Amino acid sequence: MKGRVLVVDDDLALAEMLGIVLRNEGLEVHHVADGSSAIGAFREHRPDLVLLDVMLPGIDGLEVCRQIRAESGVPIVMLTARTDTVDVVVGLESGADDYVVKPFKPQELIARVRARLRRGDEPEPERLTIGDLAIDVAGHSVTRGDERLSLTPLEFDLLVALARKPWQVFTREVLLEQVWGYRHAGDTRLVNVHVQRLRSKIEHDPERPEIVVTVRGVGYKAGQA
Amino acid sequence: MLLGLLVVSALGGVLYQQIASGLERDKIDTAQSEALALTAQAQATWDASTATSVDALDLAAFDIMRRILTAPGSNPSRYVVMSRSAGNDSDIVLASLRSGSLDLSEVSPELQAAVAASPGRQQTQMSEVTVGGENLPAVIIGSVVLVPNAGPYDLYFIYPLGQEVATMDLITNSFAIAGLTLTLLVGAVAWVVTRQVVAPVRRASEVAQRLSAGKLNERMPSRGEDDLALLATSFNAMADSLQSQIRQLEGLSAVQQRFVSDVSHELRTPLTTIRMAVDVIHDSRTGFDPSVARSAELLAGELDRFEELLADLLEISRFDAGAAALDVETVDLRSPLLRVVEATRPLADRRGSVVTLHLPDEPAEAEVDERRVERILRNLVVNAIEHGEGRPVDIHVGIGSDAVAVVVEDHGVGLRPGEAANVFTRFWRADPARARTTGGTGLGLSISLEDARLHHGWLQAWGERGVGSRFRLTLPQRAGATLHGSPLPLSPNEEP
Repeated sequence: MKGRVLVVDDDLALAEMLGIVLRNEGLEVHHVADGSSAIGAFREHRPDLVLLDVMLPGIDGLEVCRQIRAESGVPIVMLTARTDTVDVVVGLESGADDYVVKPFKPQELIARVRARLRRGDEPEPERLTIGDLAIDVAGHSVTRGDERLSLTPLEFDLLVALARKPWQVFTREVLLEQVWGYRHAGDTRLVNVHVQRLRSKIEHDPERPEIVVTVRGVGYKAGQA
Repeated sequence: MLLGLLVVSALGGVLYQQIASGLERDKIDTAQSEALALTAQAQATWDASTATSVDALDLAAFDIMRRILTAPGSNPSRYVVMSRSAGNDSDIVLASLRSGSLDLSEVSPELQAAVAASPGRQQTQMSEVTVGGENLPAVIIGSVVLVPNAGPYDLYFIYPLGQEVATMDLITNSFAIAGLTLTLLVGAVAWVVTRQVVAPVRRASEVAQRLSAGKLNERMPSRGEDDLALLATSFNAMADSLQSQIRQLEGLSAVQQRFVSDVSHELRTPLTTIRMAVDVIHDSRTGFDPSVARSAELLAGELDRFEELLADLLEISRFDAGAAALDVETVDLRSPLLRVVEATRPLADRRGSVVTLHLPDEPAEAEVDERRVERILRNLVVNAIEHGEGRPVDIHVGIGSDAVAVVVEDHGVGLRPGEAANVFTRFWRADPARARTTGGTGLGLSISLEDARLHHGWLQAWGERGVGSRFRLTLPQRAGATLHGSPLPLSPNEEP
């Protein structure tokens, strides 16, 4: 696995340990210890993934997440000590793609990181349509007519997963496995939050979605073209 | 007020009676002495008279009547009637005379008879007469004069009590006004007393109500040095003491909850570092000395237990703090059950237990928090496998009209009498002497029970020594509904 990872965490022991584990996986790791210097380090190193602690001195993790998301679709994985619904949902809504709850196993973290970095490994030319949208998988672009829609890589993966099998209803668990790379049961709220974010970007009316349709009691599927 | 009015009326009545009777007696006395004097005067005049003829006697009688007996003024104080006595058998008959508008018809026959019976004595009677169209009480006095040559004649003096009636009217009016004034005064005094005494008591009651409604800053105003001020002071002292105790308890509880939560969270970051370090060491243990390698394995294993315990403690503290929230959606209970059975298959294989699912064909749907329900089911299944001693584990699903139920049944050691109630107690172990070969934190069933309660559901245990134990989870199909029964029996001998 190759790539650059920016670790934003104020706990130096944990940050160093994260560095050891990630370098063992062949990744290049940079570290900052507080929120205020995070955005500068992000611009300097242009990482392929950001590991972000929620509780930070200076600017807190959620705000850092919003700032990074404002200028980049780079995958962001949050590190959190809290699993309460509100904390997780707020974290996801501020733009994080995924989260890992402390204490986590290194394999678990690496699986999350790998799932987010994996993309781009299979650049086979493929063109898909979903609703009135055209997807260029290799070129990572989604267009409606001449208009190019700006999606984060995660939202792009989510849309591609649905578009590849328009006849299939995806349960949240299946999406967690295919898009997020969870091998065991994960938090289905991840799917809910990101489907909402995706809809707000691609649907004509996010209140009445036509491209990503909810199948009550089961999951989601691509809408009829 | 009413009582005051009654007292005043009664008092007024008695006084009125006394005054009235006094006045009346006085009038009778006056009338009697006046009549006596007048009768004597008339008798003396008659005795001095020399008239012998009827005409002369009539004239004399008229003269006596006019000069002596008739009272002066247009509204005379007395009326006099002279008439021939009943027993007079003289040949000379004089005309009956009267001084005013009243005649013999006003005099009752009883009085006339009494006068006739004892001519030498004065007779008195109370009666009613009509003067100027007005009914008035009157004193009538009868006496007899001896008219020379013409025999005895009755003299009746009629004294109407007009003056006295007027006086009594005046007194009545005075009494009424005085009574009314007095009553009002009593009312006013009562009102003032109420203001002084009852109002503070009422205020105390209001303050007490506000205090019990949670407004702990409420106090009574305390002024002066009377009993009420003392009451207010004691009341406020009580409120102060209550307030400080409640504040203290609230503070303690909040501090404790914060502490548990903070400790759990603060532990997580170093624990994560340890976790990763241990895993790195554990992964490279093949190159170590055997004892160091074994130590690394033990370290990794115990760290797992430590993490589980911390996670469960945190979950319990969340329930205790009331911070647990339901994330409800419609779930077919068969799917979490299938996942749980799949996930616990390695454990079941190790223990040699066969887990059999008895699922209905139709979906067992209920509005629940899937994550929590799956956690309950996983707990029950893992428990059944661990205490099942390698014997089969059966899982039944029942669907009722308003509830769904899952029964997890093992055929292991079972439970002793009374233990079924204890299995949900935190850190409770069925047999303290038994080696802790089984994992678990001792909090699993406690958390499951809290999860079930959060759904307004039931989690119950049944067990018999040597037969096995059954755990039944019953959940309402609609979130927040109240359960009335379960579609599955708790014990195998019982009808659902």
